[in-house]
Amino acid sequence: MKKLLIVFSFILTAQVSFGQSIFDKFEDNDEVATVVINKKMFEMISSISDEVDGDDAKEFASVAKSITELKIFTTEDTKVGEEFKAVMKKYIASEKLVELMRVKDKGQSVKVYVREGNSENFVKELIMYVKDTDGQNVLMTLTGNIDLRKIGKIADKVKGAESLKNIKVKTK
Amino acid sequence: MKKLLIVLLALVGLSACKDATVENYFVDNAEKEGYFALDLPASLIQMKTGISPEAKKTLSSIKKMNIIAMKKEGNAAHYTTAHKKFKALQKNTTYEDLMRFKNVGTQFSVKILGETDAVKQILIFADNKDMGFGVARILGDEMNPGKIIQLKNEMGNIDIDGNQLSVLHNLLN
Repeated sequence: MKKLLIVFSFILTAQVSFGQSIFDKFEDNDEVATVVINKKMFEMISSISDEVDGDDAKEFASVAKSITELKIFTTEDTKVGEEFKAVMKKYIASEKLVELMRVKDKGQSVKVYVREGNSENFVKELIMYVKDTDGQNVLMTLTGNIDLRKIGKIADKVKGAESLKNIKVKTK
Repeated sequence: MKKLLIVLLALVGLSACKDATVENYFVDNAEKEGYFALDLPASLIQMKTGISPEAKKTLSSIKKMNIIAMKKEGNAAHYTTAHKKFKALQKNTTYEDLMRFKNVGTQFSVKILGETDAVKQILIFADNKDMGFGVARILGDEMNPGKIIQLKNEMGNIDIDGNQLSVLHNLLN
């Protein structure tokens, strides 16, 4: 009897636990273009790529499999861009994310923060904020078990994630 | 203890019924004023001659497609209510989110029911601030999106819901 109850509670929590993140409000903002790709989609992409021949596709398949969610918010509105920055700041403070890198070059600035994973090259969460020269503001969050050395693969294949190419990791 | 179980059962039951609300949405609204409804049986999909047995098998996993939509223009009277219903349907939790896109007044999302390599249903939502909204449902029997996309690549122009496939396709390119 008790077991049954536990099973039921599990089913329930599984459904409710898709919580709202603090970034979700940007989805309802008319000034913001959003792309959200969920775990199932990555699983699908992964299995599709896996069936394609070639090492490149295989490698992409393994990267895609490791990702649980990708969100990209883009805006040209300066005010909303500032909001991106503010919300991100709040988030990294409350979640204790660490800075991975910061680049400022000719009016473009890139900031990347991560939640550290089990080993040096893996992170559980990655947040990137890019302010581009043409006034574009991009906020991106990526969760999963992410291999920083392979993150560029996503940039190659998923439209809108090009800015991920900015991430360069020293490989020893 | 027993009471708790009953409550839980009821909740589980409720969430299981959500699937029925999708079915109801299509059935109930198809006849209503202002809605555009279309049912496509899979037999409408053009079968090219000389396709491989595997391709045939993939194609036959798609059973049918329903589309229901409403234009904003000329439907001022019931658009707001209808749009609310559409939004509520979009929040349905029985289906799992695949992806969502939004750009200047246009929204687009895809949900599925089933496993990634054996999809039972695909729901595609489209919503434009000025034009209107629509939802398409593809029913099938263990559809494998990977195989379907491959089909499209191999055979060029099979006429199956090219739009949403091309979205998947674009993502991968």
